[in-house]
Amino acid sequence: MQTRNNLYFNDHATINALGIATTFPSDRLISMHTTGANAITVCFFDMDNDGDDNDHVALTLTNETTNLLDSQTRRRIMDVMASLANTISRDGFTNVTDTINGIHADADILSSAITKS
Amino acid sequence: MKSQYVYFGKKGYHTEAPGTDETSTATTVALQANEGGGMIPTDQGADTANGTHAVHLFVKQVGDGSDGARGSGYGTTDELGATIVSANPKDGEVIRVPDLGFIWSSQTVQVQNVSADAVYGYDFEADTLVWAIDSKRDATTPPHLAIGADICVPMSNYLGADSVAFSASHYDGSALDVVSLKFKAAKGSATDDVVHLICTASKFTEVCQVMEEVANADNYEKAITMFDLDENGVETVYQGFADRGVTIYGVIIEMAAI
Repeated sequence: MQTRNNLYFNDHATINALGIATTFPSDRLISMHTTGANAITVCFFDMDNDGDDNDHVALTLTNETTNLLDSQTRRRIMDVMASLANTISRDGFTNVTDTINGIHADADILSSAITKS
Repeated sequence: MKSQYVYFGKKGYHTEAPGTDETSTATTVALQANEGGGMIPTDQGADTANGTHAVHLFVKQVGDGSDGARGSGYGTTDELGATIVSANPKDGEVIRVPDLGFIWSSQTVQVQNVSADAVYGYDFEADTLVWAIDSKRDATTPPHLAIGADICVPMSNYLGADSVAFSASHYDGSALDVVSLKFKAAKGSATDDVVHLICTASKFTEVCQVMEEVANADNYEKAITMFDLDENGVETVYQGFADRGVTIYGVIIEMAAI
């Protein structure tokens, strides 16, 4: 049986609207990309399964003091995401950002913004 | 389901002959870099201090040039280690134009001819070969901090590799090919994102072996860096390429906006 893991993102202080808290199966993660000096975007196959657009989560990271440090942080957080995606959690899902409880998977992940297609 | 992740950073690589003979004209040579070369340089004016251009510009003489067809500032040794007379270009000599010697304008690089710049000028002939190669990650050679700058992808989304002939050689004479590595599109649509590796010629099967190797690497805690070029110009290359005699000269990431 396939063992699956889900990645949890919550970017608001409440969970009462579309697109402010989501879980994505980690095997639906398509790819990750640099999208700013202190930002990466994580792309997932659309959870509505429409096949012509993605859902994605923009992660805002610590703004470092130099461009080199920024890129090293972005690269390290991609490692963190790869590790989380490959983690099997017995708690039901793997938390990446949990704004309600103020818990993020890494101290350099400051916030997330979810975009549903 | 676990999957090995891999990371590619871009390195723009563009070469062409300018096709313009300026040995008897007063024009500057223009070499257009573009998305196909993995770089869309911003406008950068003349007299930029050495070391600030993020692209290195190399020029290879094809056939002996006229005495005085090159400036006096290129020293006595070319990029390949051959002894040269700076002002007198000879067949096969390769020089790097210092940052002081060229500008970027509307994505074209311009080198003055000798009458305009007696130190770093160069009177190009139509078949003179020019290379523009990213030397570091920098905002002046987009894509930078944006789509196309890098990609980190699980190997479970790897779709396959395709071999593509590359019409030019590296300035040191090494023959080149392109291996196009295809991954499911970040957009989520029924298309692909492509990482084009400009690499040693006739090494397609070796690159495929590398991809097989990393797909089964079982290093689930980190993404494997396949290629990266940082802000200081330091390259990180997956050792499996060198082990198989593959040199990576450029990495171009072709993908749609997300």
